[in-house]
Amino acid sequence: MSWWIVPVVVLLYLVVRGYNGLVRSRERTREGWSGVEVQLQRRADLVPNLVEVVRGYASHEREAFEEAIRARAAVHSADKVGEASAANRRMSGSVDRLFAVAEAYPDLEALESFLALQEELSDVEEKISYARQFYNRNVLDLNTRIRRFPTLFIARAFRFRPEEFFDADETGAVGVRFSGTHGAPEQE
Amino acid sequence: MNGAAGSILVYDRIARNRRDTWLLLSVFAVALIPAAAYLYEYLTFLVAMFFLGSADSQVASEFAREAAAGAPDRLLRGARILALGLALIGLSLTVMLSYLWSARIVLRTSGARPVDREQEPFLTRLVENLCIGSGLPQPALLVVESAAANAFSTGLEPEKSSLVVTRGLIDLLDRREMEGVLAREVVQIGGYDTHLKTALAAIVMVLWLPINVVRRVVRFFFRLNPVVGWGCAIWIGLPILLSFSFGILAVVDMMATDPTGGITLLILMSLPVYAFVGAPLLGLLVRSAISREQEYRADADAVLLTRNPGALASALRKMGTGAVGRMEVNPASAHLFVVDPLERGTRGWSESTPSHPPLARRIEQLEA
Repeated sequence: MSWWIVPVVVLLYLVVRGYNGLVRSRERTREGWSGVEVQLQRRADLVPNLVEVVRGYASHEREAFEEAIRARAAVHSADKVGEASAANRRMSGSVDRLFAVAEAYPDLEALESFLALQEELSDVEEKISYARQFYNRNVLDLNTRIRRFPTLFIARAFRFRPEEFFDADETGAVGVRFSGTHGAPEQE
Repeated sequence: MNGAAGSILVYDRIARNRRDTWLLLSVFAVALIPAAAYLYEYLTFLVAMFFLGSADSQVASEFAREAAAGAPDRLLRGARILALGLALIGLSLTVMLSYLWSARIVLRTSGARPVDREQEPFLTRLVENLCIGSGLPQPALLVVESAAANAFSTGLEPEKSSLVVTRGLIDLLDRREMEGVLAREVVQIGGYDTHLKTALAAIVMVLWLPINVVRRVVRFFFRLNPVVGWGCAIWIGLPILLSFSFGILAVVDMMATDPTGGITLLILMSLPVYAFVGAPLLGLLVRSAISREQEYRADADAVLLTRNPGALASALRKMGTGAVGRMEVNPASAHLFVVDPLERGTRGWSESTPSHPPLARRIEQLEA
């Protein structure tokens, strides 16, 4: 009668381990997402300054300014990964457009405050891409756990849901280039 | 590596590195047993002498007076127990403190100086980005003012780690290359490779302590005057050699009459040999067993983070060929560095077990 204990304990152990793995992965994913959000907000908060600086030279580009401000509001109000993805792409577009406008004014491009902004924006963009990488890697881990046998039963029982990748199309492209250029060292 | 998710997230590697550190500390404790045994014998003698000496005085303990009066066996046993306790405490303190202070020891011997964001905005930003990309806390950033191009990290926990680069490296590498090298360090901190390597460095330093002290003394006298240097070397070396050769004869003689005494004498005689040859060799052996394969993996992991294998490959190439200056490095910490910091020829007897795999192979792996 007592030998029943052994498989039950083993099974329980496996369930607990799988569950803890899922929880840990989900927490990492959330941590990763808050990292992305911090950087997105940082960039959004730089946009008004950029608009201010460019408006001093090119006041007639009203539409570009308004679009940039709207994109900023969209980033602030986005609360799902998909929404944030879209808002971020929209903001990238409007920032690019502001820089395109600025290109017509050499005086503006030599302005110290403009250069400092440019520098800071490129820093934030780099940080966004690193934060996105960390987040997406954790999403990949979480989603793999949720869909993989045998943790998929535990995930279903405790209602773990797969998360969405941030900026899916862009990462997809990077992924392809990545596996193409260094598949070899990975096979070690 | 199969499947991106399994290979990038490093929980299992952290567990393995922690386990290896424990294994390493156990090996270290075993390697110190001869020293502890010596301490034990010496302390037994001291304690027994102390007991006997105090027997005549006014405040002599009952135990000591009784022992001196007619129970030398009891006195010796008491002294042995006390000495054993002290020797064991000494042994565990050495192991524990080498481990706990390892990061501090490594940093101290490197001569690195902490820098902040104002002084090195470019470096700080790169490290910041890489930490965001790997979800790690920011390590302290330090610079060694040396023309040599190299970097290393040290620390037992990611929260308390330090990342050290040389001035030569800052001048040598461009932005992307620097990112690759820093990524390598950040990834190693996160995967607890740094943890293991830091403990290893401290342990090797302790195992090499006797020979390094003697080497330093001899070298100091050599600098004064070669004749004095030779004199010093002979003065230290000759008694050991002579006592060994005569000792062997004595042991052979004693084996016939008093085997236990003979064996004890043999062990005592070989202690200097162990301290000056055996323990350092053991340090080298342990290091070569641990550190070399980790280098390939660290290179590969760094590239997973920066997604730019070419930059790291070109950084390694520059660091291998373009390095002009050399830095003062404690050989015991050589395995911490990105590329082997020791000049060929100055490595001396550690030449046979290099701390790093050949640079050309690492570059080849990155470019494959």
